[in-house]
Amino acid sequence: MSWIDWFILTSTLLAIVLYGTWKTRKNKNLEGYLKGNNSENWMTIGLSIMATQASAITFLSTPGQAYESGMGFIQIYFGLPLAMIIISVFFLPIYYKLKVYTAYEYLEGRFDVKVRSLTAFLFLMSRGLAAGITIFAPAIILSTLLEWNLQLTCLVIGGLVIVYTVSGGSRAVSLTQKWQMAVIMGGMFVAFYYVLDSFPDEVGFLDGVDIAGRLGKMEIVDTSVDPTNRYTLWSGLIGGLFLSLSYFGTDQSQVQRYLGGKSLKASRMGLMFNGLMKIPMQFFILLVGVMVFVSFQFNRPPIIFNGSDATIEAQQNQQLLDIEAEYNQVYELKEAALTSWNEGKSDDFELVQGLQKNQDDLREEYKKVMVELDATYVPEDHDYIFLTFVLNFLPKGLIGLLLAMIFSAAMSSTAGELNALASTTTIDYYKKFFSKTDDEKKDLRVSKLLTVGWGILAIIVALTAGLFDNLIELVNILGSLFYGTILGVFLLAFFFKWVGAKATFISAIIAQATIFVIHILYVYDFIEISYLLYTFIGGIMVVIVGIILQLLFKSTDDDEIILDTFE
Amino acid sequence: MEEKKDILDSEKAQNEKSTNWKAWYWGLTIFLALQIVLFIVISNWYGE
Repeated sequence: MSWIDWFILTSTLLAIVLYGTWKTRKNKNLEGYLKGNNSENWMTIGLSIMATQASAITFLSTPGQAYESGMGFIQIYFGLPLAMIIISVFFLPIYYKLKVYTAYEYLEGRFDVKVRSLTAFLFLMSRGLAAGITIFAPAIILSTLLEWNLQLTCLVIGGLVIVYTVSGGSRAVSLTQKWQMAVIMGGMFVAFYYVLDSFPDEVGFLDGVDIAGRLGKMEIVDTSVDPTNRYTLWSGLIGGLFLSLSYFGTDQSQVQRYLGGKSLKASRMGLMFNGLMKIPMQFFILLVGVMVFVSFQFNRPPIIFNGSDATIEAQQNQQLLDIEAEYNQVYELKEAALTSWNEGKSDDFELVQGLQKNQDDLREEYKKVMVELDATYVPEDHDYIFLTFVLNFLPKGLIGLLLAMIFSAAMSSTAGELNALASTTTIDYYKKFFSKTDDEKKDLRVSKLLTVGWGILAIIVALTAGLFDNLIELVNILGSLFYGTILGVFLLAFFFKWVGAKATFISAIIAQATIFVIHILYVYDFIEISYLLYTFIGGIMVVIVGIILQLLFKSTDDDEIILDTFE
Repeated sequence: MEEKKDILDSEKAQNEKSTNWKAWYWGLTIFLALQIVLFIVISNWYGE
């Protein structure tokens, strides 16, 4: 990396951190710290919601996903706009009316303290671990491709986030997220321009789309009802709706973003903004990945994108060298066939398709041999594709901007998570069970200390994440394990007013236990199920079991009898 | 001070009422439907 890249990277990051810290230096009370004194306008809320959801891995992984499998991934977002409407109509007015700090606070008024504490605990479990992975996931990719020190990269990302999140709280998170989104989208547009620029002169954008379409990358919607297909129109609408409802409606890292709005209208508009912009934004990111795929039709791609130092020895193996030589040969043939087709000298696109398939097979074969030779090698390399393109095709200076974009994305989502974890611990546990007086200054100090504590925990998780092979997937699964139960509790709260605390608490415990059992059966190969379904199953189960139990209990008066753990 | 707060609250409430949220929700739903239709058309174009 050149000095100008380092300059742009460090100055962008420092400017954002200093801006967030300086603008929010006058925070003196808990409400200002946790809710930003309800001062955010709709644009800040909308951008903040989007920045919290879009982590660095979104911008690294999504283009790679499109490179490998095409645009079908967009379907997972189809339920999101519908979820925005439901949250806007049913969830938001109640949160505003009750002036809550956290989503779980509402559950005490609606049910009781046990349901509130249980739900807050499930959130802290899943989000606490996820914060570490939000730091680790981009750090491992940056350190592999740029040969940076992994531990130092994790420490820099985590450290910078802690500085402004602790100092300025929720408002600092929202304000910095606005600028981070500007850097992120600016970086993506620059990358898109350079992807198109890497095409040969006679190949334009529409030619690129045509080539991608003919090579199967533009099959965006799958209308089949085959449950083995992970991404279909139906799984996107139904599964995506449940996933978005639970994430945006009940996950404090999102709820906190729109609770800081200066009015109900500003918060609603922020949600509408997210509903309108999310699919076009994801479509654009996927399109960048598809165009990178087209670029690599005319610029020879490496056979694997994550060949690090550790694997170099293995890569000298004769069998691998032979596969690579054949791969390069197939690439040359394909490039010649594609150029000839594009110039109108040949109309045989099937030859290009056949050679592409051949190339894909050789890539898979190479990875298989790599795994046999080097047990530490991870064959999934699509997260590395976009950054490989950036490092090879972008000019000096802009590489720094793109790296600033990745850091910004990692920091924006981590900040949202730390802020939410600290708020939940402060409001749902510390203020509820330990702080007996209304000492604003002390509460603010505790809240800041808790933010530091969660930040340090996130860095520790990130530093030790490399010890586990599939921690990223593990954390995704952990999130799915708990999301369904949390959503189910909120669905009962909002839509089944006659279901009481006792039925809800027991149904949440039963649903959570069932999800654990299903997952254990899956791990030991007794059943085949996608963990993406856990949210749907968990949510529906809490609702159905809750209704049945309530009918059995008949009266909500019985609520007082059950477990008094927290009183 | 209290009076000023009441005025602000009433302005907020007025503002809230003046927004036609139903139109927003229908607009968002129609926008989603249009996007899906466009994606299906593109998929079929290259799927054949």
